[in-house]
Amino acid sequence: MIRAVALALVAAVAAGCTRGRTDEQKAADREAEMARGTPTVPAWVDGPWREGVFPPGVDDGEPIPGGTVTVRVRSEPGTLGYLIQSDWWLSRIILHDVNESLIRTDPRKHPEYPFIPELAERWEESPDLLRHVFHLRKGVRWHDGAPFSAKDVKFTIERILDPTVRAARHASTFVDLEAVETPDDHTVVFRWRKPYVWALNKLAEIPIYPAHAFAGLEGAAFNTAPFMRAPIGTGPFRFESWTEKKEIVFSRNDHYWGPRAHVDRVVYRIVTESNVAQQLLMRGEIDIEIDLTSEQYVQVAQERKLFDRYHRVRYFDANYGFISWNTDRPVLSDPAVRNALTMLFDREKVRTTLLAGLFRTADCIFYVDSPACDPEFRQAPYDPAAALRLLAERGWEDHDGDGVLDKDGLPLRFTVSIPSGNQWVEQALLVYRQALTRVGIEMDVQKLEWSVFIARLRAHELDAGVLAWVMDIESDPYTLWHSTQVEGGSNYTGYRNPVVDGLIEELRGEFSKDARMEIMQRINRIIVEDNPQTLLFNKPRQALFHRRLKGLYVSPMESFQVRDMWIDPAWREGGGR
Amino acid sequence: MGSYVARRLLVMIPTLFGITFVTFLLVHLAPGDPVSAAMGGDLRADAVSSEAIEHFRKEMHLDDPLLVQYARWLGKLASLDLGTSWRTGRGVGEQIAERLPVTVALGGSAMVLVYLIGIPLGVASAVRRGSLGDRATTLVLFVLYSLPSFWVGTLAILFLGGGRYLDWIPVQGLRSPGWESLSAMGRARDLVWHAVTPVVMLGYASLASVSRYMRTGMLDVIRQDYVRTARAKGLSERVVVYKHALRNSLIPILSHLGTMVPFLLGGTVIVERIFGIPGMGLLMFEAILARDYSLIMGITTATAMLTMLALLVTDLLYAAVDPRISYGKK
Repeated sequence: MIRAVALALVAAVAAGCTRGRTDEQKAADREAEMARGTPTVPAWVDGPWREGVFPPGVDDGEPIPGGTVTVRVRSEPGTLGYLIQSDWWLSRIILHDVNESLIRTDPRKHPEYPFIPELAERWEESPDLLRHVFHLRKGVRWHDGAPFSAKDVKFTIERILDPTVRAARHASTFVDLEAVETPDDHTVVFRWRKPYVWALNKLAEIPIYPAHAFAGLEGAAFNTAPFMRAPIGTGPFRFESWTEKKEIVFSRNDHYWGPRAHVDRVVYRIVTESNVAQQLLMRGEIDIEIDLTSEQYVQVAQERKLFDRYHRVRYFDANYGFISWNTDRPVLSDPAVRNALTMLFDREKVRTTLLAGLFRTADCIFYVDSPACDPEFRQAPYDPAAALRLLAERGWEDHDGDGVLDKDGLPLRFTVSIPSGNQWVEQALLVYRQALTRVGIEMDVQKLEWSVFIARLRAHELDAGVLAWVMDIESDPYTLWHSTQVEGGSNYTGYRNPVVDGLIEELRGEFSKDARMEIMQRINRIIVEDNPQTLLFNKPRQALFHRRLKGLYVSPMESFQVRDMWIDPAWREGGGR
Repeated sequence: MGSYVARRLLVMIPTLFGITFVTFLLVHLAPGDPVSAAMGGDLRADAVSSEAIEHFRKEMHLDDPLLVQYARWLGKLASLDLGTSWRTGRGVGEQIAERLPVTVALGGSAMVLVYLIGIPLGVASAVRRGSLGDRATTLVLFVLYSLPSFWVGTLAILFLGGGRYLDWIPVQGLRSPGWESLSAMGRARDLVWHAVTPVVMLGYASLASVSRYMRTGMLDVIRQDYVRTARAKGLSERVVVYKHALRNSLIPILSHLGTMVPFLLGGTVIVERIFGIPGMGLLMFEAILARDYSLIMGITTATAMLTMLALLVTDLLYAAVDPRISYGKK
């Protein structure tokens, strides 16, 4: 009781202070608040640790074979069948390391990310993009010893096209495929009815499956084949064992067609709780952890023990978080209102206080470091005064004197839904709500369980939702932004713009990458200015890599590469650096 | 006695129908569906088209009327087929068979431990009612009861799990990384070492209720005439309490025992999650998040049957403890 009264007093005093402040005071307070969020770092840390980059030299030296690398996995995949299940960790574990594709995107060549041969030794593309010919590598064997051939490629594509197989995500790639032909055992020809400019990007993400492992398991039985829990591949690592809730183990494939991996074994250790993961890091039981929370990332910087043992690294892959506005709702249908709502979100304050300055404010709906994003272009900045002016211009004022802006009898009131378990989003929305309340906009926050959240978002039943997209380095905006994708696709905002539709269609037929980048910049400009989404942040991977590991690099493609790592046997705790 | 057991077993069948039917309706009518759950935590921008969703729903027969779906499930159950989990592609029965022993072993150990400590504590409190010892025990148990296990578990991992502070307990799973290479003795020791903390986390909160039940039961009995008579005969206090009074005061504890079973099967989710233990609680939790209907139904059926059996055993134990209760004749 006494505490409640005390809290009420504090609140009253605080409210009193807020009311009497001038704009300069407010600005000063904002600065001070931001400064408080900046972490202080102990004196013993070096530059790379502070900056979150690898020190020079982690990528050179003569590789030494042997040893086991242990990687922490935050969420256990349901199966190991990447073809039928879309899951970030699953793709990291399986794709290219166990089950290979025809080609691969070179993760080291920023920002072009060119294609390099994998199961296809070389390939030809007809100038009109209607025909792709892949010449397969000869002498490649599956992990069980069977030879790899064009039949396996054809089998994989046919499975993707089989509607009973849960590979719909890949199936959209082949809508315009006319035929897959195998003139001989080492040649595969894709013939297209219409050119699809991202065909190679997509093929680089499709794992080729061994036809012989699925004998008698066609149709829906394919989805539950034993293979999905014990995959057979052609890659540098072979599946060894899977103990549920504990670990998934792979060992080096000594008969790999290419340069062999250096480490003997990779253990993906399943640790759901981040507190427990941190404890295992303190004990040195984990070599790679890429899912540190922002709080942990700041906190581990203070740990001498972790500094001695790990590299602390922060890098960005292709993702952005946003508030998705339902543009079909009368209060949110006017772009000017959404602009105003965007200008009321103090992203810089949230970034520096709640996120310790680790995230980047997002200004682009494509991969942040790609040429599709114009570095000069920004989403409208935080500016409550301008937002209010804009709302007043459009007729949003408090006509009935209830403290909430209204227009034609419609109060400016809505609910933002968030999936549960995301603490910083919850806090950020508190900050946002304060800013909105101050100008007379009423916002409620509703937490929903993930599957409910997605189901209702897809059905356009929510006013607004906070979520993030994980994307490809060069991604097709069609399913997200084309007006035909409002029903059934992923255009959850309900955004319909004929100009954008036209540009998206133009993009799909544009063969020149430079021209595509140009179009994407235009699409981004239009969408961000219309604000069907208020862009929030690009979330970094916050990681620790053991100092005994060499051959390290990080990339927005596939994050890290176990096949290029080796363990320095001379490394000793404390003295080995 | 035999006919009583047979009658009870027969009553279980309609009860099981009731439980599974209500559960079936609940999980299917709850918002969210497997398709949305399948879209995972990291949402890919090109995730799922409506066509794919349709196929997925068709594969799982989600568009049939609920009663038809339930009938189909029952039909499969009749041939002892619990179905397949859509998320892992594994048989539901197989998954439960793998997880159940873990949970039963952990929960069972916790329960044995709780009763071994709780009963003497309760008796001692009752015998010395109002003494300093009684009050101190009450206070300590009440505090333990109030501490949530997710918090105590996290603290234990933080302070006892190595790293910066003490290195006393393992923090993950039930086996050390090099388990395969250990001798049989070594494996047993490793398992026990890993199980100690989770078992303590599972049990400590129940100590309060068990010892309180025991204390109340004992207090009721100890005031009765026959206990006074026993004392008057000149029997030692020890014999009076443990031989004459204890048996009669066990009945409330027994009813409590029956109700512990569902709690031990399902209530372990927090401890299992923190310590990364592959048990039933976690299986059910993940099944619900993934809207893995056949897995949810399978676990419900298994848990319901075990609970009903436990209640039956409890009722039979009444007869063993209390000669006034008998199921043999009218």
